[in-house]
Amino acid sequence: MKKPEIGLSAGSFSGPCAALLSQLNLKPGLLIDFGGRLSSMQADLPNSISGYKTIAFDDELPVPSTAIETARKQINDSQDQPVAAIAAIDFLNHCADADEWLALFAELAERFHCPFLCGVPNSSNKKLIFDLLDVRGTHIQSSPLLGQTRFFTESVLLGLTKQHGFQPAGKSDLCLSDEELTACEPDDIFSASGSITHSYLEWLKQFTDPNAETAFFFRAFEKAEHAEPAPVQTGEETPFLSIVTRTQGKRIDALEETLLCLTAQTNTDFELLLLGHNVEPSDRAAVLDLVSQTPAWLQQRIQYIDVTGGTRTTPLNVGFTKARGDYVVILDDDDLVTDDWVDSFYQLSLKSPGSILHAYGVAQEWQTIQNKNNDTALRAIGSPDRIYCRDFNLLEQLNLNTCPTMTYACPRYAYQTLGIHFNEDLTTTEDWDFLMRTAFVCGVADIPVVTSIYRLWKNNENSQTLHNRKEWLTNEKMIKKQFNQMPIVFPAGFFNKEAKSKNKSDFQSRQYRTSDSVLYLDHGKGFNQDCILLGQDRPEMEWTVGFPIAESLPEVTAVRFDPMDQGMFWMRKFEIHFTFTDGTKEIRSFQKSAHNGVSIKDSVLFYKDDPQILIHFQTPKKLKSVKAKFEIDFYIPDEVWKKAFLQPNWKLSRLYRFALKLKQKLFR
Amino acid sequence: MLSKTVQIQAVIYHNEKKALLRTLDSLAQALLLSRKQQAAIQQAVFIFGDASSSPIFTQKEIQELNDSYPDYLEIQYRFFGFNSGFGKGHNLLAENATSDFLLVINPDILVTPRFFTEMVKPFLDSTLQAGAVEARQTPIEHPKDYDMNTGETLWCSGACVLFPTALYQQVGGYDSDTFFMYCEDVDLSWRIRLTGKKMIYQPKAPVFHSKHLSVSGTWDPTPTEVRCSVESALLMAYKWDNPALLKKLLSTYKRDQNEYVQQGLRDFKQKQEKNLLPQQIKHAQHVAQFVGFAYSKHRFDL
Repeated sequence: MKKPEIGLSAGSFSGPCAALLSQLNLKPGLLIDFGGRLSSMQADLPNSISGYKTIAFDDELPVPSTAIETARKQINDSQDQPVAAIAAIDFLNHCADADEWLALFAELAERFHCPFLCGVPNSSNKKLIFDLLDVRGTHIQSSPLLGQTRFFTESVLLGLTKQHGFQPAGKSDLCLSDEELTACEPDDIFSASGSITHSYLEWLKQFTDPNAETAFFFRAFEKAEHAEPAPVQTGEETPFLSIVTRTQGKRIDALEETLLCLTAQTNTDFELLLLGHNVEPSDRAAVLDLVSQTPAWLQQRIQYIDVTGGTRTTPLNVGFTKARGDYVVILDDDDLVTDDWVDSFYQLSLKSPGSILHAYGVAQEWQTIQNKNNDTALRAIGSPDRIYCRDFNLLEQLNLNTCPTMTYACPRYAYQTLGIHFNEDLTTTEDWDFLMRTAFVCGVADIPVVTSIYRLWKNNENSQTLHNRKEWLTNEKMIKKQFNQMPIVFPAGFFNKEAKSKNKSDFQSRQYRTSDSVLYLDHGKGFNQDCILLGQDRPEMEWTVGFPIAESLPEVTAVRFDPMDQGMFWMRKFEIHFTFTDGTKEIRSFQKSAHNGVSIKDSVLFYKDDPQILIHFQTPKKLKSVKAKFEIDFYIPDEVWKKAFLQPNWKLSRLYRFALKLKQKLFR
Repeated sequence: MLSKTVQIQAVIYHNEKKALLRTLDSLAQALLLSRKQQAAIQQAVFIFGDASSSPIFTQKEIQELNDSYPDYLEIQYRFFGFNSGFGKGHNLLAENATSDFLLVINPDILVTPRFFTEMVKPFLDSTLQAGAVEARQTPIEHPKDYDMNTGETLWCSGACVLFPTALYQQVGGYDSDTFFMYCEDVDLSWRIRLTGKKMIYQPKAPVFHSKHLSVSGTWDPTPTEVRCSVESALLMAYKWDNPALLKKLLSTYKRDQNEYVQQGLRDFKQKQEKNLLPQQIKHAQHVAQFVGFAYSKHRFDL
């Protein structure tokens, strides 16, 4: 068999190899070049390379074992000379027995205490992949993959070399040229830059493969001092589900209950990675004590891992890295799950392997109480709220996260193979960001069963209390900016589902209610994030939002009521009832307040985000209670749009036409 | 150091063996910790009362279980040979009990290691005058209200409740002649309260009780549960001498289109016609507090 041309000339190896050699701290000695692909760069070798020796073969491909013995003999003949480096460029990809050759290279690297340079083509570069997708087969015959005996991606190369005791020591990869990247026929939807199919594939490939544009890997390796633990091998028994639970050891009662829920699982094919994040020694002891008291079978499935430093997201990355399950789920140390939680995910995985598995959950208000002996206990105080009992909706999820972490399990490969990790720069909503980036690639399958309870603590520290609204909004903006840069694919059947979903605005309106209405207070120094009250609303048709007023609250000169974050709703019958500490009362409606919407008789259309209603007081007032009442409609009739914008103002006319188009798109 | 004994009893009916053994194991773990911490409960008898049509366990299996657990935990098994129902089954198991405490559990209950330590605490506080202590169910907590300071509540659910054995026997246990399913625990609680003792809810003793919510976030009873709860509600109103409530219930159920409600109503009326209604307990309104159609104020709806 002839050694085929791979489209890269020997000359094109010189640059990257020279760069690679310059990265290494070479001892003086020979460069032993298996395959002779570096013969043309002899003149350009670094000074430390005192000589050059080719272990060459005839035009025939190297034959197993014989060739290796031949090579060993040739090297042994020059063994009195020191060796600076061993190279095998464009070599292993032609060998059926790459493993045996690597064993030889490892032996030589050990013997001569020198690095090993390896160059192989990237069989997964995006040009190759897109070309192969074209069913006309135009590029198949000329594909560089032809003639390769062994295919390499970075993962394969690093995995194989690691198995032989190598660790990376340098790299100087060769990327596809602009010409190579753009060369295609205009009707090739997979490669033509104007095609949306290409845009999606391009994004997907770049997103999941940092080497998408690499044509050739040029890597240096050295023998590792200590062998690393072997990675999970195919066929090794691994659990179905890895459960990642972070704890700071501050909520022992709640953690005890969470562990009790795991004890009750009907499907025990799981492992629990319990990550103690910045845990004080005494709390750590309490957590470990708790674990040691669980049934033996559960203890065998629990791995406790200390994590120090970083942000609250850091333990998630640690846990997901160590996970061995096919799927990984986050279970907070204060949430509850039913006995079929694991099994529901499992049953769904059989129907939809490879996608995110999503089950339903409910939210419930809880509080911590203390009895007369100062014993603390946990107490449910609200009805289960079905707010998370719905299928994953990609469109709505782009705007707002409606999936608590324990309602979905992600395929492990998304994290460990595709490299979709948690963004530790996000101080809140890091789970939303991770969920969406994984959902864009894996998709989501649903099982309509309630398997978890998301506890909302009314008198405890939680992420709502620890992080102010501005922080939440900043993180939200960062995430949405990222979404805007991604092409997004909706699954087949999505639009029919959307059209059929009854009361389209029902969830949106309920979900907005959990994005609390906010009352800004002006104590004479203007409005700011530090002087706000979060609303407590009751889910009825007519909204009623109360604000808890502390006795110590100073006088206010004005208040600003923000019903919600987003606009695009029509508000009617608005009244805000004030009771003051001097016994007086006041009711304000739209007529006696200012706002940033568009007035339509007694109602207001808020079409822009960040809707606001502003109320000034003539004299400073000390508030006793504040309650806002109003009706909201997210479906805005045409006549309302017309009334809002039909004015002899050319700017507003253009705005009206834009708003009408937007409304038509949203509510088609 | 106090050294108390407890008889743990579960009435089983065609339950999965694996699940029963898991329950046994969790209680064994809790007993071990109670002993380690030198808490009050030091020894236990665990007894399965089997109301299935054929035995779930063999004697050999029970022997093997006993061999696998330490001496301070004895496993017993009694096959009734008939479907006793909850109340009668527990009465049969309790009638010869000599332990200090009686723990009535549903067979699928799982407990935390601190279970015994926490459940016995109210009995050690003489100011509470505890007559029964109920564990907190999880993940779906029972919505009944309780005093956050003392744990006092109006009745204890039979899913997992601890009694002094003597008190249970003194009041005659569950009224199984009247109630087959539902309200037997309310009825027993009120009879214990008539002795001057109190019902205590122990939120520090969570126990896993398998329940599921519908996609509306509600707990939806099965048809049998609907039927039995209707009949039992009527029986409660009658037995505890609340004619106004009885009249209201009869009127409400009569208008209800649900066929299982109608079946429950018919069951009550048949008893009425055959003079099989229970003996009434009069002048007990201070104990028999009906709150609407419930037996105590609820913190939330389920």
